[in-house]
Amino acid sequence: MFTLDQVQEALDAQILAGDHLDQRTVAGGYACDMLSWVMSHAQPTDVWMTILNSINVIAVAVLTDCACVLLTEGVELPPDVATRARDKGVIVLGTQASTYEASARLHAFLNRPQ
Amino acid sequence: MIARCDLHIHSALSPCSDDDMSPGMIVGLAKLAGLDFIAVTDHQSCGNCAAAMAIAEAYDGPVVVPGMEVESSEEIHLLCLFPDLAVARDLEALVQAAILPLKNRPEIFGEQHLFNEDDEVTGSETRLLMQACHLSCDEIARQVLARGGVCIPAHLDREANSMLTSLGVVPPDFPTDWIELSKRTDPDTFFQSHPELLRYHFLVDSDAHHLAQIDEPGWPIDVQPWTEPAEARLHLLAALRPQFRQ
Repeated sequence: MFTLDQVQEALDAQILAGDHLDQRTVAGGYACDMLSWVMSHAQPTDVWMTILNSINVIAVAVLTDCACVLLTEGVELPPDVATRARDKGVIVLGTQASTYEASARLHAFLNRPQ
Repeated sequence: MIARCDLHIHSALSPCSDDDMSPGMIVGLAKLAGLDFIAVTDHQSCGNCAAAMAIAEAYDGPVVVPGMEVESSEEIHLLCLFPDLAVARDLEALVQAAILPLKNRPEIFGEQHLFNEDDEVTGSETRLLMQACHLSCDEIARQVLARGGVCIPAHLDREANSMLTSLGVVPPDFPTDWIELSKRTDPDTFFQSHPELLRYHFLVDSDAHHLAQIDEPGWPIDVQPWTEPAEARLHLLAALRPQFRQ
């Protein structure tokens, strides 16, 4: 297990909302743009990678209690969604990488030889 | 006659809408606005349609069309309107059998209030309504049409939950002559970007989640004259039913 701040640094991801990354642990990831699938599959130790940035993303992040949302492809976090994320204690990161690249990097980092 | 319509209104049953969106308040404001038709269209449920229809008839309000905003497996929002409550309930049962048994968490999504004909809260829907069902948009349209209803792709100009975002197109064989735009866009600008959609009729609804959003002038739709609400609903649906694409 790694902490989210380690993961954020390894992926060179930007922090778009939230703090205390060292208090969340990461064991895996879930890459999906269908909210219904995320609701029923994402785990609390997952980094959820998506291009969706609507207000419902924050609700689903709270519901699943995933470690963070990682917006890929340089997708921006609208100000009202950022405010909701902070209100609900949801950490949102951002990267220019595609969801595929971000998944691959995350997998490589989590599974690197110790 | 030209009827003034707002066919996409969320009551307090939709978790994302205000708690004061009771059927009575919606009907009352729609009557003040001079609307001829409204539709109460909550997410994946028609649980407040009976109350709205009863209140409208008791207080000589607008004709209330029972409806639902169904979210398909592709996370597309579909405005589904029905000729009567029984068929709306029938479609609701089909949709609710196709959603996950997740409980609503009001602190995250909002309350899901149910009302009676006296406009009193009688309880809450406990299942989460803010979720997709596992029926495709084609299957939902087929089921709605088979029940005498219409199934209109909702708020096509929006990024979230629009058929254009999810599929990239309105498929030519999708059985509708009508598409819906939100009030956030200017139709002329929208159709400049999507000239292929000019062959559809379009309507603009309020998609109201707050009382103040209920549409003042209403969208004009040509409907055969009627003498009572049940007949009016049939005539409105006849005006919206696909003629060529079924």
